[in-house]
Amino acid sequence: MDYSIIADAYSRLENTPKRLEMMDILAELFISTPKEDLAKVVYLSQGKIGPDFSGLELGLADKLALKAVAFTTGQPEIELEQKYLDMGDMGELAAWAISKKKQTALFSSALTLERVFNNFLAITEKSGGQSQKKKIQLIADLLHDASPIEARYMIRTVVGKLRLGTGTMTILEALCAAFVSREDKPVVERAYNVSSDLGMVAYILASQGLDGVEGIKLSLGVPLKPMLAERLGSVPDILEKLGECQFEYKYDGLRVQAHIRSADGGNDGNPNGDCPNGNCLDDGGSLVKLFSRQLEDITEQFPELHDSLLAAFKGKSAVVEGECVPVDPNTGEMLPFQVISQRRGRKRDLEKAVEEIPVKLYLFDCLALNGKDMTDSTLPERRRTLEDNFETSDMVALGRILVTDEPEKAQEFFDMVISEGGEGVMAKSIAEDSTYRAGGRGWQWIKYKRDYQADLVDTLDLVAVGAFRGKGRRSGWYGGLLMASYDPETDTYQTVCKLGTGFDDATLASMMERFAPLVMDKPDKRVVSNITSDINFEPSVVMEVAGAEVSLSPIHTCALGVLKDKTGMAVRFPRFTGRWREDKSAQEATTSDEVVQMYKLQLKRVG
Amino acid sequence: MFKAKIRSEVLKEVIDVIATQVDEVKFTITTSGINAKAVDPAHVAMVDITLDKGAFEEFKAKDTEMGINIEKLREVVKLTKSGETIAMELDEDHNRLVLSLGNITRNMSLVDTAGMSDPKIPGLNLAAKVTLELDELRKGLRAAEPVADHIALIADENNFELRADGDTDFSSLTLVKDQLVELSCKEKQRSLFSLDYFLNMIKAVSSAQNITLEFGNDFPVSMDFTFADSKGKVSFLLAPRIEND
Repeated sequence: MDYSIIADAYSRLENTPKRLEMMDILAELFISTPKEDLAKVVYLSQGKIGPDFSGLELGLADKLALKAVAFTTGQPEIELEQKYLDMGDMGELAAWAISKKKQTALFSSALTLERVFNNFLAITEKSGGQSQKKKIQLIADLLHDASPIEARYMIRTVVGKLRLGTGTMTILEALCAAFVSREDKPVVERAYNVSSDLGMVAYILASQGLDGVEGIKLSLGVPLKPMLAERLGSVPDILEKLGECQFEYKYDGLRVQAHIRSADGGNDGNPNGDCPNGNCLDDGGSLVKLFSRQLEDITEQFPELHDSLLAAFKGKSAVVEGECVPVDPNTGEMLPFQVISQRRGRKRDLEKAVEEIPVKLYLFDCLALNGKDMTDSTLPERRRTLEDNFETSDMVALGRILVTDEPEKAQEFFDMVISEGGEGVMAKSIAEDSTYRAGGRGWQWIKYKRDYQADLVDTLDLVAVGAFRGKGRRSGWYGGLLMASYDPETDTYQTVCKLGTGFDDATLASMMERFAPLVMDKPDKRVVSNITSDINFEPSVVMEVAGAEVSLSPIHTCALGVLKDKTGMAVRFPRFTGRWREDKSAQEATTSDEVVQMYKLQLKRVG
Repeated sequence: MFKAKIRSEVLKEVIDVIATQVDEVKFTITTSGINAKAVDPAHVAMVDITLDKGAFEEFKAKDTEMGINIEKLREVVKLTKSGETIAMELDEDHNRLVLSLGNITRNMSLVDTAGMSDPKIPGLNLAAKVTLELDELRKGLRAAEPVADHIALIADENNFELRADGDTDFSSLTLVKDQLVELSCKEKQRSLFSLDYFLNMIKAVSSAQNITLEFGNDFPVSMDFTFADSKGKVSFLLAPRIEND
């Protein structure tokens, strides 16, 4: 398959603001793609070269890309740097430079998808002394044979800024439109949620149809999307909704999905048959893999869990979920969640960090055991499986729970959690239908968190989509941010407030740097806004925001028209809590629907 | 199997020529001599160099190949003076080249040749053929250097011209047929080349007297010369620039 077909589709995608047209263009691209190339095309369309958990990331420095462009086109680096300042887009710069190219080459060969993809993969593999030079050569090798349009999208992909404005859900829907029908989206979405690998799902959809996709199962070593919770603000509300239910201690930690295989665990094989991406496990031997909420492989960040999990686990293999909490090694007391972030990115000092700030894993769910998928079992069954198969230790324990339908006992439990510094409770259905819904949000799980300064019952995790230039004391910095909630239905980000409070000077000063790689010259197509911000961001950074209340708004686009015609929702008196939700992707931010729920909840409390 | 002795200045020229294109190279060794082909990473230029066994003081070989880091080899040659002899022996068991010069022995580990493809030399039918003294060509390039970053090679039935057109200045080396060793060109031919690339390659030539240029309208130029008493043969190829603004 020629890369030009893909580049051409991207170019058309970029030129349409209409989501339906975008979907048509994508569907057309997927249909014209040979089945065996489909996974690659899907990853590329996500701006990636593999599923998130594969750890394959391009994100090359702009400077390296610029060097490759200079090298290929013979344009002096200094001139290109100047031009880049004007254009602000490395892909555009590459297209321009290629169109100006005067030097021909002795050889040329077709720029195929395979060649582009292989060079991208090779770039991620280069490390060490000569790696920068080799990366430049790998890019240059592609640029030699690239047209300006091909150069634009290859370079944008290489620097990790493809920004087609097509989210994962748009691509998923386009796949349905291409191979089955849009109505089959739930089936395909389920398969994506248990495998977290849209490329693999696309390949199976194209080659085996809907039946094949239905057969995609949870597999060891491949993370599934975590189940999500709704929220309520009081014990009586929860009991009214769920009846007798299981209250779980909500630890203030990092949600971790652990895949464990003991030494005699054998090889569970890969239930999904084909292994188009090489993500399948090797055979035999003990193994522990840890994934974050965003399904990044974080195994190496918590080396202490490797041994402690293997020691605690009595079965052959399992997929479990838990909350990873930092503890004081001297007292065994839980420490605040933020302490964990001190360990992040500290590769060299990790050994020291493990000693100073060890983590304890509080398990709360079991999704697979000894090769058997447990997600269709009820919560009590899953809890029992956990209890039967793990021996607790200083490092691995089962989260505390209380099963009750009595409000007093539940409230007592909640108060105890808060007094110990926990976040609140998760109330979970124990009914017949209390199965684990990967990637799904529903009323089976309800979180009830402690009050933040008695304002809103809960904080919101909002996505920064733009900024306003600061004035007066904040001149030269961002004065405020435009914040949005996520709407999974339309795959859009809808504005919900301007955020200007809760920043100390250090935060203000560091913010420009944090957002610099996300600045776009025009608003991202997924952002729906009636407010024009001075600076536009690619939706990516999630921030925890507290507010006084949720109100109806004639300006903001959050849940526009849901409660009242031409009216959206806004968070009043928003304040940054200081917590950057680095563990959440933009698509995991508070949804517009949740904002509506919070509004309703609030009415109930007042009334 | 490869065991040979070579004069220092011959090996130096081989190194200089290959270094214009790559840092690492694969030598193909046969019973009659050695050959290397190398393309610069930008695919703009390439070299094809052959050293006949007669260019060596001693030469014994069976068909084999060896990957060499050119800069490492240069370090060794720098230890010698012109006229001295360097002995080389391929130690295939230990994947290294053993070099001996005077009282010094140097073991050089070989580079893996697995990833090195054999470049195919494009088959070209070039309409103009010009042989001139290397010194004349050098002078023409020196004149062009301050004027522009590219040069034009132009030939017709009676003349050869190397000219550089800058924004304000220009320079021209013009030689009529009598001043050339050879000129064969039926119709006028003209092609543009990067001066940087051109100079880089010409600077690597040290012992040749004459050089033969072959080119055509917007075609690559080939530059051929011999060294080591005509036992060494070099052919450079350089892709043209196109005129668009």
